This record gives sequence, structure tokens and C-alpha cells, in this order.
Amino acid sequence: MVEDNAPDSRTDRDAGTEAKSDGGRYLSVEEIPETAPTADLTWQERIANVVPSKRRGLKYVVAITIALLWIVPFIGLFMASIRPLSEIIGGWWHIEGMTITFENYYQAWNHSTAPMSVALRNTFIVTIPAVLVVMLLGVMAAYPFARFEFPLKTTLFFLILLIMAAPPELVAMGNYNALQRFGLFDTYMGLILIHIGWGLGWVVLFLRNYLLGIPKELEEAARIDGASRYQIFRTIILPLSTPALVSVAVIQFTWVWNAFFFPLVFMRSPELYLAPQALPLMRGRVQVEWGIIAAGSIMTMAVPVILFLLLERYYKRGMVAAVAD
Amino acid sequence: MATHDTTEATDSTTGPSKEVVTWKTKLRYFLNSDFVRSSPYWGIPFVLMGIAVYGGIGYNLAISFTDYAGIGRPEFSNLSLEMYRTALADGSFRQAAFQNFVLLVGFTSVSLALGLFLAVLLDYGIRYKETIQTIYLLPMALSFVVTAQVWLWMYSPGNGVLNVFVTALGFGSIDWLGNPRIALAAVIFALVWQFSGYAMVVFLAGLQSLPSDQFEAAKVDGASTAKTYIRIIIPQLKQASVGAAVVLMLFALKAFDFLYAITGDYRPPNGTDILATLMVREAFQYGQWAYGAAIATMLLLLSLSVIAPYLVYQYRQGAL
Repeated sequence: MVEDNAPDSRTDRDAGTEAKSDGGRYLSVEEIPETAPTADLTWQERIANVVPSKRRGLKYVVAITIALLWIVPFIGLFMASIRPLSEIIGGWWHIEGMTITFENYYQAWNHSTAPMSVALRNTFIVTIPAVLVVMLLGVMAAYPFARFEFPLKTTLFFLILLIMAAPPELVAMGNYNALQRFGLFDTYMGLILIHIGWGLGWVVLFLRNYLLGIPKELEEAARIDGASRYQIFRTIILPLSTPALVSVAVIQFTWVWNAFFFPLVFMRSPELYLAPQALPLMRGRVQVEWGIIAAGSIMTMAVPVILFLLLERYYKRGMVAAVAD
Repeated sequence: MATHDTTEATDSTTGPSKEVVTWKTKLRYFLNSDFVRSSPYWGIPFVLMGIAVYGGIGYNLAISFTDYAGIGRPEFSNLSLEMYRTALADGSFRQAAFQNFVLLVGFTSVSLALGLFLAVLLDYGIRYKETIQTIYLLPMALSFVVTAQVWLWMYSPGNGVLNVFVTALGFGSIDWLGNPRIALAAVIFALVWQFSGYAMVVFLAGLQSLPSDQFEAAKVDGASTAKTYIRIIIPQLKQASVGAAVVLMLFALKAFDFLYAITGDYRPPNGTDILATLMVREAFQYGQWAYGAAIATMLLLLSLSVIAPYLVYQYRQGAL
């Protein structure tokens, strides 16, 4: 019995002081801690432990009910997207005689006023540079805040913090004007620049907090070895901040991809529309084309949702770090 | 060893040589500091932020004092608070401000309460915790525009799920978004669906950072689980809840996308007009740039009144 439980009591092993011939792997009977597992349970007891008590059951019922409520909208959307309109108009939850068709996806992909094929490509063209450049520029701007002393540091830092509080509507007219003047209005270049400038606020904040957590000694050691600031930045800071940069990438990607207001104001040519812009145009004139809207919604959300599911850990870390110091 | 920053640099010169540091030496050290020499690197992002954000805010503030209507160049010779006065006297502005306030407070408090409830539920030990957490958090990855389509579909008077429940309970079908008296509540509910997962993650991180012996000590004293949470655990989440509340409010201030996408037009459903939708309508539909700018400035003031106390508090605590 004692042998069987050895792995469980491993943590208490170090408590014993005398040298052990077996390398401390096994405990003598007196040494078995009180918390160690006792003799094997009978089958009846095991079953009783597995069957949830009323309280535990209630907890599961509540958690799963809410989870189901949370997922119903997704199911509704999915059902609407794979069935013909005539079937879903009376309620998508009637599943008898269900016809599965990809007609809606086909229609949304090749829509006459707002084709998703073009819109999704456009969204990629805007999102990818906006994310990559923000990562690079963000860490470049965060580094001085984390390491250097300079005049007006606190003031500048507060000015960056305040960007988070500024509603996007506030800068719309100024940027509209500026883009017109530089000839960047209704171009992806202009939109990307606005996204970068706007996103840098929280990115700098987040990365600065992260960089403060990297010990200075690493850099000092490298300096003694004669490394320049640039070399330190490239060989120490960048590799060490990779996890934070992944968080930045996921969150910024989601925001830029999902952004609606900036494209609405700055992109006016229909052939340049991004996916969130194209989606409301699919509604149809006479009858609401729920199936096509649903298919378009699923196409619009697919990329950020897959990214979120793959990198959820980084996403959560970034979201929590925004409020916890 | 090369110096880290200007303060160290000046210290090392005053120390051994007892030389009086003139402003010229200080300047020379400053110009040679890593900060100045690395300026090509941080300069680009700073300039970009300056133009895109502070340029925009400055321009907005400047034209809010004029009577610019989007044609030609704004006239800065005759500045006045006229637009602010007009806005404050306007019934639709006051209604939008009130609805904005209701949205802000309602959305934030419901999301916080639900987030706390879910966090405690999951923290209390549950199998498939990660999966359930992912489900609650998933809507956050959606665009406001997609959320709007999803909830249009849910709220649809003819074939929406919610009306099936309502009619099954024996009530008449409800036009959730068409009735101005409940449209705002319906919007708030949809936003809660999207963002309460955020509050949950923040609370869960807070709960998991608490030492577990408190919980055990309370158990030894004979406190029930519910009592332990209410009396001991939840009060310690104050920091987390303030932070989550601020971020949630900032999300709520960006609800323009959602409201626009519901109707596909500058005018949101009756009873859900907020400052952001009013501002965009005035500026980009009617071309009243100056008036829109005045509304946007007041929206900033609202936003600042949310975040400023938090920032000051954090700063005093030395957390920034």
C-alpha cells in the first residue's frame, strides 16, 4: 500500500532528514503524512463519490444551462446558414425534414452588391499589416517607457493612457481631414495608418508593463560584454517579449478585423469594402435574406474565432493584463 | 559601463570631480543618453500616435468652437460655445445622453454581476471548466456587426427564438427592437452576452490569485460556502472589479458599431440613440461637423469621467 501511494506523497518526502538508502523514494510507515490516501475504497463508495450530490449537481446544471444559453445564438446562426430560407422562416429549431444546403454560402460569397470573397480579401489586406506594424512599433515605443528616464515621462505616459478613453468618433473628423489632405482617403494605406496609430495606445501600455517585468540585469550583463542598445533590443528584449507580442497580435487582429466605424468613415468605394462593412448590405430589399446574412456572418467571424480558439491563452492574458497591474 | 539614463549620468559627474554641473553639461549628457540616441526607433510610433489620435482630438476640439459645416475650410476667427449651447438645449441630445448613461450603467453592472457569478461558479471547482469558459468568452471575438446580425435573428418578431419562449409562456409576440420602451434593454442584453465573459476572466484571475488558506480557515470556523464568498472572498476582488468595470464602460462607449449595424443606417432603433450615433449622424450624414464635434467632445468628457478616477487611483497606489 505504501509503495502504491509513493507518488502522491512525494511532496512530503523532503521533510525527512535522515539519509535514505532508497533515495527517499519510499516512506516508512510512521512518515506517511495524514493527507496520504487511505486504503482503496469499496466499489459502493467509489460510485457514491462519482455520482454528484444534489449541490454539485445544481452547480453543473446552472453552469451548463448558461453555457447553452450562450451558445444558442451561434446554433441559430449556423442553422440559418445551412438551410433554405423557406425552412428557417418558420423557426430554425424545427429539424424534421431538414435540408442541408451550401447555397447560402455560395450566394454570400458571390453576392451582387457585397461579395464576401472580395470583402474578406480586403479585410486581410488591411488587418495583416496593421497587426504586424503595431507589434513592432509598439515594442519600440514601450521600451523607452520601461527603461529610460526622460523629461515629461509621466505626462507622456498619461497621454498614451488617455487614448484608451477616447471614443473613436472623437478622432474621425480630424483623421478624415488629414487623410483627405495627404491623398490617403479611401485607400487602405490611410486606414491601416489610422488603425496603427489608434491601436498603439493600449499596445504600448501593455508591452511597457511586460517589459518592466524583464530583469534589468540581463541587459546589464550584455552591456558589459559590449553589446549595443540595438543588439540588446534585438537579441534580448524581442525574444523575451514573444509571449506578450503574441497576446498583442491576437487582440489587435480581432479588433482590426472586427472594426466597423473606421472603415465606415474612411472607405467609400464599394469595391474596397471590408467584411464588417459588407455584411449589413446583404439584408436584401424585399425580404430579409436571413440565410445569406447568417452565412456572411459566419464567414466574417470565422478567422478571428479560429484565432481565438487556437490562442485563447494569450488572448485571456492580454485581456486580464489590461486591468491587473 | 555606459550609463543608463540622465540622472545616473549627472550623478557620476558630480560625485568624484566635484565639478559644478552647468546646464550645458546636463544638455550634453541628455543628448548623449540612450533615450535621445534611440529616438529614430521610438520617434515613428510617437509621431503616428500624435497625428492619428491627438491630431484628431485637437482638430475635433478646434472645430467644435466654430460653425463649420463640412464645406471649404473652417473659419476660426469667430470662436464661441454656440454648438455646446445648442446641443444642451436640444431634446434629442439630452435623450441620447440619458440613454447613453443608462446603457453605460446598465451594461456595466449586469456584466459585472454575471461575470462574478460565473467566475465563482467556475472557481468552485467544476469539470470541463476550460470548455465552459471558452463558451462564455467566445462572443468577445465577434465583431459588433456580427453580434448585431445574430441578435436581430434572435429578436426577430416573426421567427426569433426569444418570441417562441414568450409565446410559449402565453404572452403575445414582442417586437424587441421595434418597441422604444424595451429596445435599449434588448441592446444591453445583447452586449452583456458579448462581454460578460470578459468580467468573468478578470474575476477568475483575481479569485485564483487569492491564497486558498483563507477559504479553509473560514470552513474550519464553520462558515457556509455562500457566506465565505460573500464575506471574505468577494470583498478582496475590489481591485479586479474596478478595473473590469472601467474596461466594460469603455466597451459600452464603443457601441456605435452595434447600433448602426442593427438598422444598417445612421439612425438606430427608436429609443436606443446614444451620443456616438447622434454625433456620427450629425457629422457624416447631415454634414454638421461643428455640431458633431461638440457632441464628440462631450462624449470624451463622459468617457474621461469614467476612466480618470480609476487612473488617479492607480497612480496613487503606484500601480502605474
